[in-house]
Amino acid sequence: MKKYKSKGQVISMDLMISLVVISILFLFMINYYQKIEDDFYDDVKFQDMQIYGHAITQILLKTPGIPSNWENDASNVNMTGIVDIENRVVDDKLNAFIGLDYDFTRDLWNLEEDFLMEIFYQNNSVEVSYGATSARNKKAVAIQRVVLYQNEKRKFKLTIWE
Amino acid sequence: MRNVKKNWCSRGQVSIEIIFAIGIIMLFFSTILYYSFDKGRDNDLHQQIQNNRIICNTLRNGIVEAAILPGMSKEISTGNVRINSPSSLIQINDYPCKIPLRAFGNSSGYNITTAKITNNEKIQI
Repeated sequence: MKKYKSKGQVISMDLMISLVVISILFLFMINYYQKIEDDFYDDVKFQDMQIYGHAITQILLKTPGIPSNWENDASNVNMTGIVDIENRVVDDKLNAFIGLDYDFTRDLWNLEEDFLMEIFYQNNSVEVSYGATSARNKKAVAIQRVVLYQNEKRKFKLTIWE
Repeated sequence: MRNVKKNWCSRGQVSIEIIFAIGIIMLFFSTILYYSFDKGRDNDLHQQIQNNRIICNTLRNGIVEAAILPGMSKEISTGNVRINSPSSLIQINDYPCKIPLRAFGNSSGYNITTAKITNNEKIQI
């Protein structure tokens, strides 16, 4: 069987097909590399948020704050603690804390992300809540602790999201 | 009988398709090579970022622990650490390391917060 070429035809069908296949391969390869790169930075960001949230939780639940009676003059607070001894939440400090301006607290913690602090009753309903509205459809990390509040065990939760 | 003009190459000539094909193959492989080298560079960068993060986390934990337990002295070996006092931002090889304490570096705020670099290798809290 003979194959003819018309005058002026340069690119054969085979070449066109190979061009398309190679282009698709290129696109897949570039996308794949980009995805690996994006995944790496997403993981770093997510892990950093977790570690940072853990550090903030430690500050809140392990120390009375600096100065230790900061609740008397919240404008001069250097470090917010809401406990008198580790994990025992005190009403005065908690009330002073939730009375702080949200942006002021973020600034105090050097936090670029949004946060929400909650304390739950034992039946899991929210007793105390402070911060931005919850992180629906956002990449969020939550740090949970069991604390003693009003002589009862409560769940403490700090959520941070982008 | 149809008179068909043959479009074959004469001896010594290379068809345009072959030139295109070689060009595309070269482009393809050069792109693969480029991305391979680029990936190698990315891996180095990722490793550097991970190292900086480890130092940052060690440092941050140390500072937070020291803030929680005033009076505790702590010495942490780190790499190249620069502290922008009193902005509470520490830079580790240009990697910004945030500390969740606003006035870190301002010793009037707390008892323990003077961090200083010893021999450019150690940071003392």
